Amino acid sequence: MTAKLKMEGVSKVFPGVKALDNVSIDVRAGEVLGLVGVNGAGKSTLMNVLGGIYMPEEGHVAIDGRRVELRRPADADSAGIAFIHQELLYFPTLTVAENMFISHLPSGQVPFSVDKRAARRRAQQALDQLGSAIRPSARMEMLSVGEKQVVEIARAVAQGADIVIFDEPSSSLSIKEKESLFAIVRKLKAEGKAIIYISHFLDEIEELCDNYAVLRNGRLVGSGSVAEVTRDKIVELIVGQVVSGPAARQRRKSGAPRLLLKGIRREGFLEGVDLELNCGEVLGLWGLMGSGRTELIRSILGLDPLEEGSITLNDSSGARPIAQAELLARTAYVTENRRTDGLFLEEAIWKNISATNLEQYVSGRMRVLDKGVEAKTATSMIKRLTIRAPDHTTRAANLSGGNQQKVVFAKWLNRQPEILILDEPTRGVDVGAKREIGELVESLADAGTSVLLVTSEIEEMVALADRVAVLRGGAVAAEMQGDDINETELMAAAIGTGAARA
Amino acid sequence: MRDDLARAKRIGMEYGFYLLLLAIILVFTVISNSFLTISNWAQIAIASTFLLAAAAGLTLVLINGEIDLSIGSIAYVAATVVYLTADVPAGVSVLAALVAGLAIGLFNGWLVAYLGMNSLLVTLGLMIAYRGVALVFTEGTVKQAGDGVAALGQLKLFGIVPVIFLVALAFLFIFQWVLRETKLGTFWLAIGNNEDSARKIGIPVRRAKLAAYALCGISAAASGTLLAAYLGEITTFTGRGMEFQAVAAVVIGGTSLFGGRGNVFPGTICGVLLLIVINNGLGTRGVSPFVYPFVAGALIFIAIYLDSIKNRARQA
Amino acid sequence: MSDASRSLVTRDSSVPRLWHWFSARPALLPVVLSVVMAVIFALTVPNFADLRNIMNIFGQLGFLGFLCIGMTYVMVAGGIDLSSYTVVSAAAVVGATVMVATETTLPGCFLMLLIGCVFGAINGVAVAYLRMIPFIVTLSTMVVAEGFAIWFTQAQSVYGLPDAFIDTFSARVFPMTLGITARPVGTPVAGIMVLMVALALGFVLSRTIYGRRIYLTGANEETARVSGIKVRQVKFATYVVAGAMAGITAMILTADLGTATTAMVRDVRLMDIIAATVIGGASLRGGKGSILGTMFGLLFLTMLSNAFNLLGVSPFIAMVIKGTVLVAVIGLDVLRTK
Repeated sequence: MTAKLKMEGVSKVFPGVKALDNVSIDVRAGEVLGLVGVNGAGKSTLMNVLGGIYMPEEGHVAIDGRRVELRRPADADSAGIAFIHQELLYFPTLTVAENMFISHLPSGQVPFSVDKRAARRRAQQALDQLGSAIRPSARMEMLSVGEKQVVEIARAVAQGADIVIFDEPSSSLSIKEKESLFAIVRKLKAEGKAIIYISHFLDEIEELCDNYAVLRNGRLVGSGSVAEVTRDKIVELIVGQVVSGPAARQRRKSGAPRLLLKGIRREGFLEGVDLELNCGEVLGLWGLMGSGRTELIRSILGLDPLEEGSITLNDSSGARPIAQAELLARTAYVTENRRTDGLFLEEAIWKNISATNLEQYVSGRMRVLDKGVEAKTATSMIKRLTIRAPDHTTRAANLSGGNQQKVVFAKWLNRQPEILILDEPTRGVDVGAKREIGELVESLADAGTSVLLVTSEIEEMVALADRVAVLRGGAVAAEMQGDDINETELMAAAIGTGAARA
Repeated sequence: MRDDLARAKRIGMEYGFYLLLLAIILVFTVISNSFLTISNWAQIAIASTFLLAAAAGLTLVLINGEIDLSIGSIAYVAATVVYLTADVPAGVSVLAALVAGLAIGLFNGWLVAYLGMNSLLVTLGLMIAYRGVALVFTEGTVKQAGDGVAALGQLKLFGIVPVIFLVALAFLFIFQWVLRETKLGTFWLAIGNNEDSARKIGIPVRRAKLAAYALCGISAAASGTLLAAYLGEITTFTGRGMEFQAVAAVVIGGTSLFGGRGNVFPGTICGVLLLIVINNGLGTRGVSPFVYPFVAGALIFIAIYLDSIKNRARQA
Repeated sequence: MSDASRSLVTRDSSVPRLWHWFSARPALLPVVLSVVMAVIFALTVPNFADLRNIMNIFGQLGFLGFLCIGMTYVMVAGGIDLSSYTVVSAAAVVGATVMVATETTLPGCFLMLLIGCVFGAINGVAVAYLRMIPFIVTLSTMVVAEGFAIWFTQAQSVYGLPDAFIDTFSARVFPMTLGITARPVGTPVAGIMVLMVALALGFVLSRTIYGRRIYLTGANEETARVSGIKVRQVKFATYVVAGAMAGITAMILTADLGTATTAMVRDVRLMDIIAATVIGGASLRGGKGSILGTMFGLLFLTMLSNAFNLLGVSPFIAMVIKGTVLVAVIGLDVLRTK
């Protein structure tokens, strides 16, 4: 029996990176392939090739033994490939049926009209097929995350897709919803769909998948039958041989305590987090998406509501409770997404850099800003962080990702903070800038700054963190120190039980 | 338990406004003898006709997440066309006025949908420009409509129901049908929900928006034509301030300023009724007419506050 | 576009340098427009360059200038204020009534300023703290303020203002001839006042920490918030400034007309206010604009009206032209940001 979907020798090069290197996978009808790998291993690039978003330089895709050209998303559609994305694409105020058929609504008898009954009937059929009790006339915004996902799957089914790709579908689901998701996947399998299931949770792979494929650095490093492999073996494949260097490095000894979090709670996100951040250390906050990492940071800084918990700051004047607004004013916070809340994209570099510390440039009773000093600070920051820009008047929007991120760092360093919080500090940043940012963080910690690091990149965590707190389901589930901080342990800690949120 | 509470809250937000309208009608009925009479309601019907016609089309534009502040001026332009065609048969005159509205609507839609101009600012500028054009033709004075058109304005079904009111209602029901029963209507709602997603999924966003503006132009023109027919003359007050009243009525009727949410029937109809009924009811009670703007302003304020709460999740 | 596929610094060389230079200086457009228009009108429109006419134009800047300054503050922070023109009436009728009753000037003036600020504060609370849409919030305050003025006066104008008040605000000082007129012409106080306030608030906006906070809030509210700027206070403050400007406008217009009415500023003027601000470089998306640009935008529009007046152009055609100018400027803004 030939494979339903076959990808052969697929390579994709981005400037400076070989994102995919000669990757071949195949899935048969009625079979589930589990695709695993760390972030940046090439999973999404591979799936974007299937989705018609990237054209590979080498290799091809074949369906039912026939080669297909996937040049744009519509080609993937007509080839019967459907994606169930992590971030669902839907229209909240439209009904389930309308959402499912928005791009091909059935025509009614009256000219221009839509046959709503037909749409609802077909939606009902697809939902029945999945064993779901969702009503086609319900408004999308009334559904839970899990139900929305079911609708997305039903859309794929209704449009006759026979290759269904799940991209980390369980990361934001409750346990119950997860079970019904699994039931649906099994149903699709029984109906003879070919399924690719991407997940970080190895127990899900074991439970659902027939075969597995592991990607690392853009290469297929292992594949085979799930029945014939151990979990440890897969972890090893995911992480790879631990090369000498970062893992063996000297970890800093924690200094005096600086920030004490106790019982931080926010309904639906944080279930009582206790954390201690010391002087002169890098504390890693490790966990999967949805574990509450970003929420924790935003809550203690007063950017999101905080329902319960105490924050204590220890500085020269001793330990005392601190208000969120004051903490925000004394902390440097490199946010997850520099374009939305890290930079003033339309403004010049110098204005970005001075924004966090305007008081410093004020003189006189009129509170006039000294633009000359602002420019000077910016120029010296550009030099110190080797930001590649013509000069300090360049707009932030005109910089590359790496240089934009350095501007974000510059604006915070300008404040000479005691506490530095980094949320995915090297996302969308080229390799060179990534290394430079790493070195910068190290030197800051050496100088006594307390660094709280959130990252999804396992190598980064291993390379930078002195201590790691593992966050799961909105609470600290474990802590690691010294040589325990290695890729295998981190992977195991995160995927551990597979129950992301109870 | 929590779910029940949330559900009750949701239902309250969704239908509370209709209850409010009902309550207000009840109160006026009780406190005023002349409120619940056929002749008073015939007056209410006439008074609401012109706002209803204009608000119908504006609802569609708002559902797309855009706005058209030039509708009052379009109404005046249409009324001016009625004056300019006073010598031709009434049907031709009305048709010409509506075509003028359609043309202006298409132009507005082109600027917003195809050139990507900000609808708020651009229609604010056009509001002035269109009114200026009409004023050039009317020379800023009162002009007579043709006798045929003026006669149409006085027609009454069964000797009591004004035909112009029925025409306005017809617009509302047709637009509601387009909104709920056609692909175009579904596209509008989708665009109002999330324009980027709509584009990604292959919805012809620009054409759909253009269509909304075109219908809005026709409906505003209808409003001006109906007023010209009713009065038998074209005053320079035609459509003055109508854009703001219409926005208020549509929003009070539950259509979201964030787009993607709302309906013509019953929402916009009830929004208009609420404003008119309060004005009328206060009148029949002999309350100072100067209180009305206060009440109206407060109502708009409450309506938009509820709207912003409803859409807070989407804002974030 | 992925970050990796992007070159270090993108600079589109196909776009002419001059265009770049020009679009980086949005205040230049209104200045150039004004200068060009002034020269053209001076050469073609009889009596335009007359000192008396120039002083008239200068005085007229005082009628809408304050409202334009307020609008600039609000728009730079990313909002819009449709209510200011009716707030002028609300403030004027109350202040004038008190003046008539007390036969003194100061308490009335103070009240005008206060009422302007109160309406501004209402807008500010709704927008900044209740997170409502500025456009529609200020639309409803516009209705309420007008209703308030009508209710307060029962739709009557307020007459019998103290002479001291009228004389102060509608006075003309520093008579001069500049060697071009035979009889000296006085400088309108309204013009001097708006010039001074524009200089002061322009200075605050462009040079001080307060102004910078307003710009940054408008440029990206989220980034500003994370950077430690109290964005709600900033937004609130801009609406209060706009309200205070409405209060000052109430004084000047009441004195100029010799009476306070329920429609001190006609509704079509709202378009002028927004047009001047947008021509001056402000954007509905916030973070852009300047008092300098706005004042020249207003100067441009005022000269346009004045020249049309002198030429006897129909006011209706003037409306068409002004509306078209605003649409053109918005079109230019679309091009500039592309």
